[in-house]
Amino acid sequence: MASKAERLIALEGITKVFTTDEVETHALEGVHLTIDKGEWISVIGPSGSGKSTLLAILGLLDTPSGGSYTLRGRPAAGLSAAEMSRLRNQEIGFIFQTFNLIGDLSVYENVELPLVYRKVPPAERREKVMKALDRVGVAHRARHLPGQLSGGQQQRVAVARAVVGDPAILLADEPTGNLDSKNGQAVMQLLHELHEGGATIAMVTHDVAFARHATRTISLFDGRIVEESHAPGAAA
Amino acid sequence: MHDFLQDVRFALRMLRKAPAFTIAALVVLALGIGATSAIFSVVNAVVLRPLPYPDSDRIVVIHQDFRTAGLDEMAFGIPEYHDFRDQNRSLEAVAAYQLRDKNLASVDPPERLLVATVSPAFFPVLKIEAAPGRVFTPDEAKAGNDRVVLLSHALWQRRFGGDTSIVGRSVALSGEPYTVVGVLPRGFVLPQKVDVWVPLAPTELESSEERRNWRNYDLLARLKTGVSVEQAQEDLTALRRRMNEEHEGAAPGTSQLLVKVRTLKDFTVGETQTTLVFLLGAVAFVLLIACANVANLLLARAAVRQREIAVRAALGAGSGRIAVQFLVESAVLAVLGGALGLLLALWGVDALVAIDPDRLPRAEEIHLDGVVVAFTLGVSLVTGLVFGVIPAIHASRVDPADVLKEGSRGTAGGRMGRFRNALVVAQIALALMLLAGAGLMTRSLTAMARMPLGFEPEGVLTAKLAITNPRYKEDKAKAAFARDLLARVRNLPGVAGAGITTNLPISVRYSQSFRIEGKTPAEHERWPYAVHREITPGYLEAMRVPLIEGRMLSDQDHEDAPRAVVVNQALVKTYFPEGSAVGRRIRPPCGDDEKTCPFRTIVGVVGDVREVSSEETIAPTFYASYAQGPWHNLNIVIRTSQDPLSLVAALRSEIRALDREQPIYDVLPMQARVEQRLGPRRFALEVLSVFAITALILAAVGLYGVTSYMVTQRTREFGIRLALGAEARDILGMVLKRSLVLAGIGIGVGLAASLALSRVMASVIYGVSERDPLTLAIACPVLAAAAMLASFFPARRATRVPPAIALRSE
Repeated sequence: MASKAERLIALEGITKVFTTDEVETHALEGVHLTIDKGEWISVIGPSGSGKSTLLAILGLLDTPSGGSYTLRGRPAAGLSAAEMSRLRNQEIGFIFQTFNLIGDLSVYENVELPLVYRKVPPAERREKVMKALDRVGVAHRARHLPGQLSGGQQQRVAVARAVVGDPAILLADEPTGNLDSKNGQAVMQLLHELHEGGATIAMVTHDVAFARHATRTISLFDGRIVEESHAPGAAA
Repeated sequence: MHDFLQDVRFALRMLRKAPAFTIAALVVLALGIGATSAIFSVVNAVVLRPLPYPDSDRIVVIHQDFRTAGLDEMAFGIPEYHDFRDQNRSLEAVAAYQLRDKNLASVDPPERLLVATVSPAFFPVLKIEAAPGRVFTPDEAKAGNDRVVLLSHALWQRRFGGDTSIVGRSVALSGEPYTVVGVLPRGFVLPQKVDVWVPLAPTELESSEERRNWRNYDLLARLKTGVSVEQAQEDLTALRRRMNEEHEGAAPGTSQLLVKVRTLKDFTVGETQTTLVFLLGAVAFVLLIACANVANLLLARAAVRQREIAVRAALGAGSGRIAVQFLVESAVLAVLGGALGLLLALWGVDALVAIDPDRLPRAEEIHLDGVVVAFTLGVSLVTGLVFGVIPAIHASRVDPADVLKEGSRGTAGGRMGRFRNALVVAQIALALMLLAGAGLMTRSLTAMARMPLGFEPEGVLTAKLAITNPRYKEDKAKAAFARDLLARVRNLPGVAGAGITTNLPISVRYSQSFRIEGKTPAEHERWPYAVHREITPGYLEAMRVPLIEGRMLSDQDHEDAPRAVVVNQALVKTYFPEGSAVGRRIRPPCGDDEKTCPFRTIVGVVGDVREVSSEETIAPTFYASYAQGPWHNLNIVIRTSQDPLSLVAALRSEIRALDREQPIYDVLPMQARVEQRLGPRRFALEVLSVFAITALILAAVGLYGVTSYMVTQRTREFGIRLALGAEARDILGMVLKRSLVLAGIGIGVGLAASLALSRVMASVIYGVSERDPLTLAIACPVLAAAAMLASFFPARRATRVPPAIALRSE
């Protein structure tokens, strides 16, 4: 009998409604989803299906209109803005399609940022940052500004920044969307290695080929989960 | 031309399209240009515009300069006037004049008039004619022919209803009939708010050498064509030196006399010129801040319009063409701001004049005219160029390929970001300088107000009388009037004491040389000089001037008693350093005959009282008994435990009961006179304070604008930071820290500039160092607090954007 995996995230009946100019848009409707430690799930679906909204809610960047969200057994509802910031900082690592590196900060400083907010002592920060940069293979560009790097290198830096704080889960929003196929493959390889190392990953993607890297794939359509599939060999 | 008009039309359309930007820019420009135009209106009317007389730059005022006696504006005796009139080589005409009080009693109620006694050359010097009527003839400057009078236009209107048949009619001045020969033009009040002019017809005694040193007349002259003020100064100085040699020993200190020649305009404007030029400099700072502010707004707007610019460039517009379009937009904005500023200046000029109309020279000439309108237009266009040139250059350098490729994202950082920051730093620095200036002025006024006066002005009512009716011609009649008036006033309810003086402190003062019995200084030594006042018993007590030694003047010092004086401590310190002055005797320079010019015995020493203004050192002063040398000018001083003004009606009633034809004028609490002396500085302070507050607001608005823009530009970055775990306070702190750094640099630059320009401040402050650390210590945090407040709201806005929205921000 397989040992029961640790439940990391549980979404129950999540809805998200955007209201603009008296027009209601239902981005998510009754989404039920659980993510266990060590899982890699891919969320796929056409544009406007609610993928990014789901990821924003998972990342505590947005709050649902209804339903419940539990992270490591702790309900997200009722958390103050400061508590959410702390949870984001400690439990979640983000990888964005457009990298979202801060242009005025060096590669090193970008990666260091989550640790700065966590008030990690400088010496420890340095060690962790260099380790993270080493892990993604851009340590030699530590002093460069993001604008001096290629897209692939920038996304590697973004991955380093996401993992430097050793979060419970990595949320990747179209991590290959702005990259050519070669760099896209390289980033996927990097995520694969991280997953092999024990990381939990939730990834939004358009590309079914990249989605196959995941252990579980969820298809969204019009804000609802319409299909859920497990990779061969993965526990259902 | 067509392109230009098209650019203007487009500029107007763009301004309409962005009402918030347009309103903000126009308000800032209107404030800057309006304040500048208002101050320029005053400077133009007071300093720049020639006096309203033909060839007015040739009209000069001449005084004697007796610096060794501390007097730099001494008048002339009639013989001296004749010498200067007849022997000079630089003057076309010379007139003498004296101001006196007379009462117009032939109409009810009686009115005190300021009378100028002028020699017939007075009006030819000014090239002024009367209408209706005529000015004085040389014949009327002879005793017996001199009962003629010229009316001011205002008096003619006020008391005679503008009746042209007034010419040839008789009016009574202080009980004596004068024939009106003419009315002078509207607004003509020379030498100083004069109501009527009478001819100077010196008596034989006045013209005699005996009266050479009875100096009661000022001189007004017209320079010969082609002669400069400096040449006249040289000519008259040489003449004065010759006269000094000729009359050596005739009077104390005669050989030390010099002459001071100034244009009438310089004399009229006086120290106000310094204040106005100072304020013009200060308002230039406000205008610069406004320019920096609008330049910043335009830069932000140019960044937003990059896509539009890129499209224009892609369609073939050259960088010069794009720059011109932006400059036209700036010019349109500036001209609109200038028009609004002109409206603001209309109100501002009235407000400026209203601060102190009595002490502002040529106040009646201050108004907006063609010169001011042209100045405003010029300032507006220059302003438009100043704030428009950098955004225009910036716009002309946009790379269309880059912008069109990336979409409509604005550029946040780089050179323009640094330039915007520099503009904010400049605004803060300029605002600090104005704040520090206003602070120094405040401290200076406070220091002046707190300076001990030597008397207690609170609870004292003062009023002036000129007993010029022939019935008071004799000294005994004057003394009797003063005695009777005081007796009546002292019996009024609420009156604690009363007295009379010929001159109040903190007003004009009269100085006199004197000799000390037993001491005869050599001619080259400085002769004793002192301010003198004639006072009745009770005056010093009513003013609460303390008695230091001896006794006060009393009823025992009547007209027939031995002459007695009371002196102040400064006189004792200066002229009797060896010990007590009580019992010593002094004598005015009226001769050596004890009968006609008796010694005066010092019977007491009183505390020092400040004269004229509190900035001057205390002058040696003696107080003589009014009964022993009465004048027609009286200042009654009444101490009361109630509101001084509550006694006015009763005082008027008592004077009417004593002499129904006797007017009183200039009725004021003494405290009000003390406050009036701060007038010119209060004017500068009030104007500078308005500038400083405007500058503070503009600098804060500038910082707000830059911070707001920065927050908008960096919203995505804040989203990233929030996603990475930053808390709201981290973002708030980051934005505030950046503003604080800008404010800190601005304050540092402003501080250095304030210290560098401290010499300028030294000319307008008193009693406080121009580098006063307390003032700077207050100004800096005030500005820092304003900067923080201005940054707080955009900073808070930055923390309120949900991270998910912020991350989607472009």
